Amino acid sequence: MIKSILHEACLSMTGNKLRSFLTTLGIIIGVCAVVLMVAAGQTVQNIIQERFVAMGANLLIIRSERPKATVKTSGPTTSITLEDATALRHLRGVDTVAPVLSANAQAVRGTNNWSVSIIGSTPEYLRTANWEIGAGRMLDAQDVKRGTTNVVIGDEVRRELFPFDDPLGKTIRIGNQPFTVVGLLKEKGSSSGGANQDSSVMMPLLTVQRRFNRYAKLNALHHIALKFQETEDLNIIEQRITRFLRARHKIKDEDPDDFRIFNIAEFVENIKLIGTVLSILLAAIASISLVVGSIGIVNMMLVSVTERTREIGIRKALGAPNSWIMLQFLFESVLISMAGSVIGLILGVGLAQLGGYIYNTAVPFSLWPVVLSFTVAVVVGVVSGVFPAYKAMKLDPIEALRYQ
Amino acid sequence: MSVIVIKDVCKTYTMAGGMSQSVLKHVNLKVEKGEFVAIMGPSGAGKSTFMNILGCLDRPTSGAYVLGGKEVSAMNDDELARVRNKMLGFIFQGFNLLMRRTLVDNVALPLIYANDIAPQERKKRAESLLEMVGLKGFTGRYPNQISGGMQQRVAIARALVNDPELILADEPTGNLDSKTSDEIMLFLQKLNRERGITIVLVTHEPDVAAYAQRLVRIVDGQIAYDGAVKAYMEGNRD
Repeated sequence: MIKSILHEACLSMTGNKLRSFLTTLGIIIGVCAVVLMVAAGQTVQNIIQERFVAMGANLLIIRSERPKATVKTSGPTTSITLEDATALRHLRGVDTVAPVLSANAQAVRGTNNWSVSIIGSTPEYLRTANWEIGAGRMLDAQDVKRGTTNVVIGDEVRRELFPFDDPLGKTIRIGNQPFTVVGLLKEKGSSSGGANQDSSVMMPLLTVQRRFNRYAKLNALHHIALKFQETEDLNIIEQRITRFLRARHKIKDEDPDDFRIFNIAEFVENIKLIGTVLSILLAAIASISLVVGSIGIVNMMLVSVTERTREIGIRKALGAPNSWIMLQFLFESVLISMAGSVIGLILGVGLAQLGGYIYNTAVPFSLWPVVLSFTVAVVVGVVSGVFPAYKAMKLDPIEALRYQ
Repeated sequence: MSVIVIKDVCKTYTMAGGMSQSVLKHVNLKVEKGEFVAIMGPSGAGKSTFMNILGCLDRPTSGAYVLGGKEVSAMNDDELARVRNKMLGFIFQGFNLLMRRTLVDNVALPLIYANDIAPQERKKRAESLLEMVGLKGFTGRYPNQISGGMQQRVAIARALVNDPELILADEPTGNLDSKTSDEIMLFLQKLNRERGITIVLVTHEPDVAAYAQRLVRIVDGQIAYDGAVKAYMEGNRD
């Protein structure tokens, strides 16, 4: 019986191809939009996540944090010092430690100038921050020891200051002081804080301490970048560092830490959450078009019931039970939304992959749009078919036969 | 054996405002197997209502209707649908074929609702009936590709496809010219005479009614005449 009803429903649908197609189009666009938006959301999420993992999942950033209760002093202060960094090197589980003193300045070369962030550190910084040299060399132990004016510049700085020539060995002015470019950093992208890391200029720590120090103390650091061994557990190493630094800073048990440890893993989790929320939001917006599409089906089915009143009358007179009439119309709307979903799904996945191909990005193919679109197909089909089908079922055969 | 036994059937419509109108008043009728009955009467006399009740499309307000040995006057919608499907064949004035279906699909349509006949069997039966009504080469055509007379023959084939106890024809020649009309009536007459199929026909044309054996005249909701067609035609012409 179901087979016969399905057959009849198919025949009715194909009987008015243009209208069926236009109605299906609403669902196609809706499902396609949902699939595309979900794919877009997931792709963005993946890209962000990849960037963070590239930064190093076992990277910790230790920053000073001024306890709220302390008396305000003028100018920025910091509790993290170069001595802390040196001491941390010997802590168990620590791989590399890079002390960082940062500053902002304007870099000038000829008529080109660019706002750069200065990173004063040691050669370990590269390994700690998972960064690589693209050309030339990294600052070496001699640079660090003597506080030379050699610098390694980020990719963006290179583009802005040396658009046409090789920067190696050339002199640039940073904060109105001359520096020599000895190396180029590879392109890296944005940092966890959203800052553009490619606009960095790396200098020996001592150089920054002498020329760009904003802090009251000579040995003050902006932060310590610390990479711990892969075998270590994040929480345990954080606790160990905390105990160690508290002891070094002679903090009483009842007082809070004067520093704070940031880790990438937590950040990645937060970013993932943002990505998920973004995906859901995009899907929600796209599903509006699905709602519009299903209203299209309701409309089409209602017109169809009115238009086919006489047909319904004939069918009833020839012995079609009410359930048959109802199911036939229900199947028609389910078939339309099903066809729309399948086409929309294929189109959406195809477009998503095409987009990924064009932008050279891996677009994840997940199963749940498939599940979603079929659920949507059945739900939309049934919901938008029920009322018209009920209307068809309730028609009085005598009245329906008289209908012109 | 009686195909139709109608006993004391009344049909009353209740209008908005509580007014009620009696359309059929205590009608009694018996139709035996193999009879060819024409129902006539002026417009508004209750012919259509009576036909709807006979066709199990409507239920009497009171009284009993036994069709082929089954009491049908108190059945629900789906039971009535089943009775229509198994025991009745309809021929309408407007042919009432499905325009988007082929002729063979149209003829086989009642069998779909019978639920117990395989698609191939349905097709076979429909094809043999189309052949019987003289439309052998037309099975794949659509109703709008053939003439009105042909369409009515398709409708006759459809009415016969389920081997009904009774064929109900409601003004079957109303949309046809007189020549085609004669053809259709002769065909119905042949079905009645050669195959013993019981036919009840509603018409207001005496020429059409003349093909039947028996005439039932309904006037003002009551049976005013019930007897041989010939006797009536000879006795008083209206």
